[in-house]
Amino acid sequence: MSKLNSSSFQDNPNKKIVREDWNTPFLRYIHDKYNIKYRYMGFPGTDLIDVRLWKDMIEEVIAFELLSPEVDYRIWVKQLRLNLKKLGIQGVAYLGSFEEVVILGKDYDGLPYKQNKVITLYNLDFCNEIGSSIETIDHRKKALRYEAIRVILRDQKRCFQKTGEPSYFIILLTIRNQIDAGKIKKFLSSSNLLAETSSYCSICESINPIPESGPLVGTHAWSLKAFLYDTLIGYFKNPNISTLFFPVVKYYGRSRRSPMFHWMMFCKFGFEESANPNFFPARYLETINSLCVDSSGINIRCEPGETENNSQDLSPVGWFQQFESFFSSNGRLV
Amino acid sequence: MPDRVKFSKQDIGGEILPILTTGLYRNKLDALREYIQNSIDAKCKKIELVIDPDTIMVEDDGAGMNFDEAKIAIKLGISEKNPKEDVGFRGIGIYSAYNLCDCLDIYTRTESDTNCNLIHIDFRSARLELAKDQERKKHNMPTNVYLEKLLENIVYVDVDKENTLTRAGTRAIMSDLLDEVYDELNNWDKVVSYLRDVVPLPFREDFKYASVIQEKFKEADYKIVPVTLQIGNIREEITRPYYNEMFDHGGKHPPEFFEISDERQHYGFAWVCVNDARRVLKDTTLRGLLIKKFGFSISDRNYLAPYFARTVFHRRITGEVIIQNEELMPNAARSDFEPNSTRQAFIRTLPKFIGQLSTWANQIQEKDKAREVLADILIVLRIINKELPSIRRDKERLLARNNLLYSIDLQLKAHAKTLKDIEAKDYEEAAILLKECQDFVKSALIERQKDQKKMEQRVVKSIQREAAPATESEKERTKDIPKNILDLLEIYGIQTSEEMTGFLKLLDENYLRVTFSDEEYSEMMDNLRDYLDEQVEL
Repeated sequence: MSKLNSSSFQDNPNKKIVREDWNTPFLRYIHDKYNIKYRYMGFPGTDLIDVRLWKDMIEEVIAFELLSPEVDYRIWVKQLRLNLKKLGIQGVAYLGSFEEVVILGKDYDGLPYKQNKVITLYNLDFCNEIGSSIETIDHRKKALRYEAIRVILRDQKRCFQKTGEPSYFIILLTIRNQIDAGKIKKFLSSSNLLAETSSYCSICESINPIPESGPLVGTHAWSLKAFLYDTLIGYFKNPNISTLFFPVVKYYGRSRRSPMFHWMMFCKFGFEESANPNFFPARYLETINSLCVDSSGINIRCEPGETENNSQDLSPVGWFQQFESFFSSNGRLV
Repeated sequence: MPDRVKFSKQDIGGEILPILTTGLYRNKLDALREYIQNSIDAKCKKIELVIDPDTIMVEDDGAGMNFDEAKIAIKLGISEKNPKEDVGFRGIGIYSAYNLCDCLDIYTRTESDTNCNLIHIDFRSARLELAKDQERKKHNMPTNVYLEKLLENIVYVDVDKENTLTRAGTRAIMSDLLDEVYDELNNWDKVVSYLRDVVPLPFREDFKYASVIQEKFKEADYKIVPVTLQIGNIREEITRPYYNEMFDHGGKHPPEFFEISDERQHYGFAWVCVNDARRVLKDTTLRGLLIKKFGFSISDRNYLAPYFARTVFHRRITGEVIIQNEELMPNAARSDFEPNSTRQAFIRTLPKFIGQLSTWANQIQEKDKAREVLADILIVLRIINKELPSIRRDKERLLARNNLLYSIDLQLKAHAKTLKDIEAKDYEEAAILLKECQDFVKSALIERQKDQKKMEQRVVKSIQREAAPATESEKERTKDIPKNILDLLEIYGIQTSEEMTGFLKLLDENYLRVTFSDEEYSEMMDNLRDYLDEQVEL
């Protein structure tokens, strides 16, 4: 009997739908068809719900656990480490948010973090506002939370160049739809924005304009989507990573105040000779790409500016199969 | 007859648990050794050891324990293991984590089990109970923590409802590690070094003699167990410490195997590698032989040093003595064997074994020495052979080379017998080269001797000339000192063709003038004049 009963992760029915009906079919399709096991990095929580669900598909876990609010702030990470060992999966657990550990290269206990193999499955949660900065352990380095994505992509490329395989990876990214209006407005009016982002934003802005200031909590989802898409593409371009964006899934977590955005991305390292990565679908922001989770399951929910087309395939496997030939050949992911 | 005292459950206090565990397991890492021993005794094929700041896991794919065996395993000081076959047999090892962690969970199942079994030990509660009891004692209250009661409260065996293990084997998880063990357990080098001393690990794959030694292990039924160690995010297969670069030249000599026995019994065998240069091994940690029993190191590599007549051999070799005799048991501190008659007999065989080993090492190194000498000689002879024509006229240098060749001759003769056996071709080449060089030097020195005589004659003549008035021809000769060969020919009225004149000019300017000093050139002109004078006289 364990004396530790607290859990760092509270599941909810909507998240369960996303995990089981959206993520799992796609992960299993790739696992079964291409005979691969995932090297997982993420925030699985002390109960390891997703790791347990995908246990047969996972060979290694790199987990992050937050400091517990209890007196023993290490209680969650201890429980996570214990459960990981009970589960018998090779892995390591770091104390601290993944953004902090990845950017600083060490966890709260000083355990050094260094990626030395390509991670094939990221399950990342940005529970805090994505535009907020990290309060680092040593109070010396300040970085925006989403900078961690840049760091992991850089590390991925380095590991890929070192080992030559595997050449693909999957990112599951969950973000709270909460951002400062002034901040996002400033970003979206920048002249550095991609042409497709600008065009999408001008349509959306005319229908659903962003206020001058104040927090955007659960509203103007299009702006966060545009912001993330533009940022991510910038990050992928530098290490030459081609990416398939799946429709973004919106769902409410425990709090009804702000919905969560869940992004699934299939990424492939580019070769040196093809320096320009490909992004699929080509007109991602404007084609229908928003889904919503409610009690009936996953349904289409258009953002302003998206083309409404109810005949689109809602299955993640079907979505992937439209672009599969680019990512595979002869039954292998290349 | 003395009265027998009857002991009851209340006569054994709970304090015996920390006394036993602290006394037996002085090193914090000893708990790892105990669980690894259990894995080896369970005939596992591999072991995984994962350490992080909060938990330790030792997992094996051995036979595992069924529910009844798990209940026996928790008994204190009672073991069904056979000391002749098994490493752990004292029945205490399962409690060795007392000073390491708060909680121990052992998940185990056999091939035929339908469920996984769980042994749980709550060391934290035991420590709290004992601390409370100490407080009671301070207030003069009687103890109420007896060993039996304590164990009943902290240990249980149950069916694991979560069915954690789905195949045969054992997974021991020590959680909530004590703060004081953190540094030691998270020090990679320290843990690896410790494991090398307690686990029969395989050799590094790139160690060139790994397979031949492991083949011998197989023949001798000495099992090795691969261990994967993970500390934090570093994960590696742990191996024995031997590597090719520990030898000066990458390890030219394959290992030799020695059986260690006397007329009454067999004690074990040894594998030994000697350095491939006549020098001590560079890596001081690997010099000498390590005695191993069941993977445990007995003492250190200096244990056998006193048995070497020439102690330098102890430092030039590396290897292991694998003890297989059942009566030779490591003492608790692993510093020696338990004292018994077998140990005494084993000690008596050591001088003979070390003697054989030294003879073998000496022969190998003699051959090495002969090879080294031959290689050096060949280099020197090739240089001398190339140099000799240019020093043909330099008597001093010829004499120096003559001395050197004499000394080479002596060295070659000293190793001739060995070299004819092991390096016949190179030896023959050296002998021929030596002879050629010696002949050349000899003939050049004879020439120089003749020159010396001529010089002496000229000096005598010159003195005579100075004493007597010069003749007409002598006057003529002194007047016409030739500046070069063409000049000389002109003085003597010798006519040559145009081509020959060109050739002689070229020879004179580009070779003779460049090669010889003024003094040598002038001496050469004199010789030519002597020759031409003789021809004229004829």
